[in-house]
Amino acid sequence: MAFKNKFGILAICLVLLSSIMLGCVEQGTQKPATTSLTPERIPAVKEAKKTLVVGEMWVIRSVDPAKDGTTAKEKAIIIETLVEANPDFTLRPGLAESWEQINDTKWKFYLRKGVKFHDGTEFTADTVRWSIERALKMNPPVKTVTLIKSIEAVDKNTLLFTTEKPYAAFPASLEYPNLGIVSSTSETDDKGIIVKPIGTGPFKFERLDVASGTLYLMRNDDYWGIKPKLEKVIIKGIPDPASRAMSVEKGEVDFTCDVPYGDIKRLQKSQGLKVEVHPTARVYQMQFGNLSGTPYSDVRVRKAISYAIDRAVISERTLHGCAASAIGPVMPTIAWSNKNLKGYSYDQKKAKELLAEAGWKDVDGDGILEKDGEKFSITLYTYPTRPGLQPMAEAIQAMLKDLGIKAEVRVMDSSAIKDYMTDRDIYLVGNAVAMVPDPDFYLRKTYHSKGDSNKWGYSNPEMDSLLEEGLKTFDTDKRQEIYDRVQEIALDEVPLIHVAYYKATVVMRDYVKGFVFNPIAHDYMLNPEMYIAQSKD
Amino acid sequence: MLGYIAKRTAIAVFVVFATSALTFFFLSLIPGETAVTIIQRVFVGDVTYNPSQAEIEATKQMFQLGNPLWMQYLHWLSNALHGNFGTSYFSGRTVLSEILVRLPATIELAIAATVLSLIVAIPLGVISAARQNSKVDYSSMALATFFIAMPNFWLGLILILIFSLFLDLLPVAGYGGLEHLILPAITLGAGMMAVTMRLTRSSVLEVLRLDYIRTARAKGLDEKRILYRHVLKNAMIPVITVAGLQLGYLLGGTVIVETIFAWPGIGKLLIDSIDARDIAVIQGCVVFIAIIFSLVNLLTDISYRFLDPRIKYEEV
Repeated sequence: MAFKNKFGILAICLVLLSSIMLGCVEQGTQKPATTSLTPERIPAVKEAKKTLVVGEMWVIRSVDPAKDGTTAKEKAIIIETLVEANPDFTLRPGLAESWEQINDTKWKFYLRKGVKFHDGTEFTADTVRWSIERALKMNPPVKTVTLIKSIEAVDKNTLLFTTEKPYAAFPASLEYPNLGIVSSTSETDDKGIIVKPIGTGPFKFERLDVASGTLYLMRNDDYWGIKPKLEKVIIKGIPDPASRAMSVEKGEVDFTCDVPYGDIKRLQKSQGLKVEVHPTARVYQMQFGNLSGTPYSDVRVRKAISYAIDRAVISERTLHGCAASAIGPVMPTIAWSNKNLKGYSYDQKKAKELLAEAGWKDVDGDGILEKDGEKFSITLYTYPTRPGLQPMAEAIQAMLKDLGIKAEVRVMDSSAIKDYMTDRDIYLVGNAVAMVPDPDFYLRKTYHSKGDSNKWGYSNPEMDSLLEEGLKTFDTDKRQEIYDRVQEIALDEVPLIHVAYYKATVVMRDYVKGFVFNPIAHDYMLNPEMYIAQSKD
Repeated sequence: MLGYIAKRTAIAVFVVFATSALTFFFLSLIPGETAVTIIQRVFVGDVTYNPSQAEIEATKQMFQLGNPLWMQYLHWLSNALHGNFGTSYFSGRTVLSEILVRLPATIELAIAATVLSLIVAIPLGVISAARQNSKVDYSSMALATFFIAMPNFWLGLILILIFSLFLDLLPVAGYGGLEHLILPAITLGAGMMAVTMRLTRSSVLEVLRLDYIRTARAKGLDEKRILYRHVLKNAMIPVITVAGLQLGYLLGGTVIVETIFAWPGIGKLLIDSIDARDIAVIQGCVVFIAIIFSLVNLLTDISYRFLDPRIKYEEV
């Protein structure tokens, strides 16, 4: 009888179980009896008081510096490069104490003495050569960035680099994150990929939890520079921006970056949190499909569009203050920016005049300009990974409409845009302008007629010769003159339009002290001075 | 019976094979040259980076990307049959190890979601049917409609907002103890709960109208006895089938739920790999999910026949 009744028993069990569970929830809800909208927050209990927990935007999947240098060098500061950069992107000595130029293609680098790798092995010229050659072999862009032809260890502390051609940006190129120096004693897997990097930086690699993409670091007590204050750092991958914001709000992580723009105001008001907005080296820009055979072949049209963009509205309102109005190709926070540039201030009237001069008139009165029977109607493409891009594209769409240009906004994966975009269209991107802390790399890639980024076919012989001259001019002042002129032409001829300079958002608990934002970083960069002010419990 | 199992197994194998081929060819339709995306996403970490021709050539050589598509597929297939599903461009680890290391987290989440949804859905469904058009019925209907209609990316964030931030009861995200499991399991199980609840209700109602129930009532059996002894047993058959199928959809739901809660499972691996264009891992994840889906379907089919003897009679 009891056996036959098993479904009845099952049902009763289920009901009982669910009521127990409901009871649990009810009991739980009684705890914070306060029903106010700003509940008391109980800080999370941490395993150690000197542990910093970071909410990271990417899932860390590799710690091999040759593959992912940004994580190992910037976020985790496990490894260091021979040359480092100051916040204004000027160079300073890193693992190399000094360097000198022997001739047009040869450079001597003198290594810092008294540096030891995390496992105690000695830091020598031979290891540096091994490490850099490894990066050159494993990561093709490293070759393009450095133009290294050969490396020779002259003695224990001296290296001789030979470049393929005269390359004034060579010392700067050694700051590239993938060139962080690892010891040849680093543990590798069967394919030669480093799974346990041994570097020289303020923090040592402890372990990487592959499944969750969590990186565990510990203090390097023998660090040659400023002794790090934090005992441990845990870098947790939380890819969803809204989850990151809530994690720092609740104190599950102490530090995070890149939260949704809509959350910034709430986080600023939230108790116990600090929100910082910092300029970086990324610019939002509008790239034309093609500068010939399109309306954009007339420089007046390009200028008109640039005048029609209300940059202040975009930076302050559309991007919630997380941007600055753009002037020239390079932001003024960077040492080599041309400080005399004025930029295009918002001037709808001038924009309309320029378009009229170029022959664009609204003949049929539908609000869209025409020329030779063709309407000025385009598509504005952008991609979703940077949250500011879509709202910005919509703001620009409205500004172009006032001008008489009909723009349709299309948001799609960045790899797909190339397949859809026509010569008449415009591409809105967020572009890094100082991947190498030197004017040459970005400006030559973008403005030289043969530059890899110059898909729109901009060509100006003066620009080409200036950029080639800059490549082999070693005198700092002369170089600055060259790049000042490059930026002046770039602004005047508008081969692309600079809209706004991106700013990074960092959110941390107020007990996190000593953090100094470094604009060199792609997202953020930890620093050894960071510490936790009081007990988190 | 054995013939039936063999037939179903053959179909399951075909499904997995077809999925692998379709995924492979669809992945090749992803816009953008593979070498370029590897440079952008693996080597430089910036999707706006424009590589030089020399960099593209070097990358192609490094990853052997020059072969025609069908050759690449046959190569993949023969390796896969030997248990080698390729290597991640991104991490350099094998696809199989990437999947296996995340499998426990996904299984944990899927089981928790299933158990949670059945515990709530079946009793509520039975009560709603027994007291048709009562307040319980209407409110469980409202609940089910709400959970079916709410997308889980929204539900997840709202649950975090309420239970983690306002009430401060549960952690926001991450993998850990039981407290980390509750919110993702509810988010993932909500849809399944709603479907199961409605199905239990309609299935119980249907059985209640059958002749043998009328007979039982005519015999003078009391309602409770009819419900628990005669109705529930037969009403559960379709529920179990659908619960099995739902488990497959649950795996699809993990893609979003795991991303919101930073849950280190296969769904999140799939999203991370899609972001990174890590094609070998995407392929591996899809095939793996297809295998689990087919396996669950197969088991459901077989168990269905054990549960419902009538099917066997029809076959004979």
